[in-house]
Amino acid sequence: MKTSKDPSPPRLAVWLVKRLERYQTNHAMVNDMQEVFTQLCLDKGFFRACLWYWGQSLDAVIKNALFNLRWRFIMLKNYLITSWRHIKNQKGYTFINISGLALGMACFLMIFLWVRHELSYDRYHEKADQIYRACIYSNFSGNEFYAAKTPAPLSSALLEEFPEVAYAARLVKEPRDVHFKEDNTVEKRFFYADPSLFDVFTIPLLQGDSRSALNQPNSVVITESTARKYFKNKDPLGKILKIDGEKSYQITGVAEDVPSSSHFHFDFLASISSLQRVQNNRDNWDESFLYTYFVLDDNASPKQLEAKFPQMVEKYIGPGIEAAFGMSIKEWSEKSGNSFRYYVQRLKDIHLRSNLMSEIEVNGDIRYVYIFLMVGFMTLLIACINFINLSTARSMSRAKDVGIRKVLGADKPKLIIQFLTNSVVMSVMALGFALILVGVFLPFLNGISGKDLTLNLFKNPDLIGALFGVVAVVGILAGSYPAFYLASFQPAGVLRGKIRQGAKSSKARKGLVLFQFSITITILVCSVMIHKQLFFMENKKLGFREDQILVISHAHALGNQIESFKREIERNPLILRSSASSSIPGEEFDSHSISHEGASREKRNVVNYLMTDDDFLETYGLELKEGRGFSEDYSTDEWAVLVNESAVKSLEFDQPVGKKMGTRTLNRTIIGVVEDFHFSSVRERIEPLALYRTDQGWNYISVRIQPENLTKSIPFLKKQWETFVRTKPFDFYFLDEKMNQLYSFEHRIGRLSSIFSFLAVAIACLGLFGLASFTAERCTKEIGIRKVFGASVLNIMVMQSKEFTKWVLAANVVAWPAAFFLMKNWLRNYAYRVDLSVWVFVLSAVGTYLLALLTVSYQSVKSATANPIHSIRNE
Amino acid sequence: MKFLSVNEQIFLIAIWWLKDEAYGVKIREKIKQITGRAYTFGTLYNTLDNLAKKGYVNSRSVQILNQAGGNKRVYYTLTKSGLESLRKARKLQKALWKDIEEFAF
Repeated sequence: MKTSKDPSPPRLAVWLVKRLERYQTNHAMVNDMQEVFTQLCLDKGFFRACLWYWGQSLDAVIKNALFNLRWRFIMLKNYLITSWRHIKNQKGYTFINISGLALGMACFLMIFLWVRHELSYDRYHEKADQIYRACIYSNFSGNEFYAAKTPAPLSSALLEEFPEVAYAARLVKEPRDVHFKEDNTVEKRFFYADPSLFDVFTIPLLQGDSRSALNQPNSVVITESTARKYFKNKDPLGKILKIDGEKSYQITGVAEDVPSSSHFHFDFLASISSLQRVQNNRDNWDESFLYTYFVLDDNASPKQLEAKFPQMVEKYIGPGIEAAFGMSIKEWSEKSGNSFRYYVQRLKDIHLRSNLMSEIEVNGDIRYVYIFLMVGFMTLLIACINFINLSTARSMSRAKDVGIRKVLGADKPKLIIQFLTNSVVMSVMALGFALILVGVFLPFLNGISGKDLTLNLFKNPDLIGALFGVVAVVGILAGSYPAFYLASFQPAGVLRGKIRQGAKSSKARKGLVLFQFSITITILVCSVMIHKQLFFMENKKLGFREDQILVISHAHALGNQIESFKREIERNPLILRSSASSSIPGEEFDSHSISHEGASREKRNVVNYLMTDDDFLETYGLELKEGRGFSEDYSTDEWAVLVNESAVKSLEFDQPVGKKMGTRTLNRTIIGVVEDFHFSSVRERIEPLALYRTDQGWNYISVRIQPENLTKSIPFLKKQWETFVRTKPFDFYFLDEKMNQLYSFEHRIGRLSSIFSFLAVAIACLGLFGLASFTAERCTKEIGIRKVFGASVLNIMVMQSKEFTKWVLAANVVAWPAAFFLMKNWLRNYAYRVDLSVWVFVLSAVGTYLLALLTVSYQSVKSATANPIHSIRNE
Repeated sequence: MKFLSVNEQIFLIAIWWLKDEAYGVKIREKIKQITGRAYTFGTLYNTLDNLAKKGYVNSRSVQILNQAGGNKRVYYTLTKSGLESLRKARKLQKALWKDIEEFAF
């Protein structure tokens, strides 16, 4: 009899054991323990008994967990075995499913790698969070400019005025001729920098001391691969390089190669004290030609610093303005409507979010990162949808399996876990194939994107996480719907061979087809539009003859012999015309602000300018709208200027010829108006341009040649060059190539988008193929009966394709507005753009439809031509 | 067919000894008596469950009214296949130790 005198075990422990359902319902553990506890109380006392009880309870908790785990594991093994059998038994279906998933994953992984690289720019610097770049915003009568280049004295002013600026460093990019032994090479990635550059950025030196490497004039640090290129295995330290044929630079350090995820890449890094231009402009705030980076203290805010900039401007630039215009900066800017200020930009924002004027290298764009990320997720989603589609469509083959398992006591959660295991196994296999695909296609992607992406899991452990993530997400996303769907079968029904293929499930499946094709068509339309725009830009009439012009760089090496060089080459009939100029279309043009006749002195306008000789217009085939070109016949042409039509518009001239303009005083006279021509990318509107006539400061010679005889004219020019110039190599290129390089970014985007649209179409068609074969299988008997009653092959094919036609066409309704919206936005970036023509949409739709039809037709032809005898008597 | 593990043999023999008395507390005592080790109830029931899943033992719940501490016990009995396996184990044991004297080690 139970009495109240009986000691009771600790309540918490009892509660704990009772939580473990197994011991409560199937066994009498609690009772057993109670029994022993009572005995122990009598023998050894209450306290010892309680201790014992606690020990037993905690042990039971652990043992219970181990027990469950063991049986779970045994079940998992069973699930894996059944998954494997299923995969083996249905090879064709598995192949379609896995290859679809693999394509989707490969696509996603490549985009992931690309995006990851884009986002990693400049993050490797130790002080990345504290590094900023000073930039200039200016507004000249409504024309806004954001420029990355700043004047030379800015960095020392920053250090002096603001205690929170810990370090500041300047950087200039100047292509140089490097002369070593017999070779003469143009090194484009030649930079000059302050010694403090090593304090700002993380640039590890393999040899040499970063504290002293750039202190002396004429010292240079080279990168590892440059060292290998010039010195093979020899020690480069202390060696002498001849730069530009005159100066000798001593190598004071060897740096590690700059990671590809840096917004600037140097091969040579020379001390800034060796650059004459910096010395000359030490106190000149007008000339912006170098990049200023600085490190802020931990707790300083860039916004607060920016707010203090106007004081600095007032202090340093104010006196100059006052001397020139006789008024303070404030008055001056109010009066002229011009404004000008410095601002700061985070280092991490430079690559993806800035795109200012005169960046060091072509930057990326955060919008493309988003777009590609979206495309990646979409393709993965399409692949998952295929999986869902096929799995539910093929559910008949698994219905018996489900029925028997249910009869044998499997409950719904167990079945769901089983099917999820199945889809995870499939997605692991798909990942294997995807990795192979990525391995194969990554070199192509690298070629297109100009990156050096690798799938090195050992170097990038975070990639492993990403891969697991993809497998888990795909496995669960793709597996969940079929799992729930299949697990809900009623055993009685399915075991009798009856399967409920309700209208609901088939509608869902068709909805998925619709969704998938909407995405595919959207991607396709976008891709075609991008290509169309690219074609348009490359083939747009630029307003000059870019196809026959060959450009020789380093014209300054000819010195005052330029005229005679030109005369000499023009004697050859292959050479039609030649002209020397400070810049050429496709290269950056310098710009400055001018005032002009008929406006107040404070009213400034920014124009691009070009220094040319008399022959520029004829060489480039430019048309004159008004007035005349430069000519030797007029002695006054030294101060003459030609402007283009947009300059006329922005200066608001009615009668431009004869008007005066100039930077400080109105010292130049407009003698003619040149028709607008595209001297920079078609992306941008044609800007105001002024052509000045000079006898010096020329960098390029443009040569118009007969296009038929390139093989003869190039060696001729080279020979002539070498008789005139010894110090510089003959360096030339064709102007149209140069112009097309302006669109390298669009080329990349275009090629990437075609790859991804191809993949999207392939995945969508794979899915459709699987689905079609399923429908054909299900309709075997129907088709047989129809044939017996006299249906023709064509009739049956039409019948089979009708459903898909409806949904693929309906997909256009969704896809068109989406594509229209996306492309409308994208094209807005281009000043000169193609129209969103209807035929692109129609063509994409028709193309997709035909492809879908082709995919389906394989199955429909097969089933339509089958002998009805076999299909009808298949029971 | 797999051989029984020593652990399984101990349990099955304990249940066989106890005949109708084989429930948790008694099984635990018997095993302690044979091996000198006191198993925790957690281990005890894990092994019993495993034996049940393999079909060596059957279990039945019994309502007990006059017992202190509760009203339910689970009694275990050997199944045919449990007995058969024990027999096999004994045969194996004999064959294994045949001709080996105790002091040979």
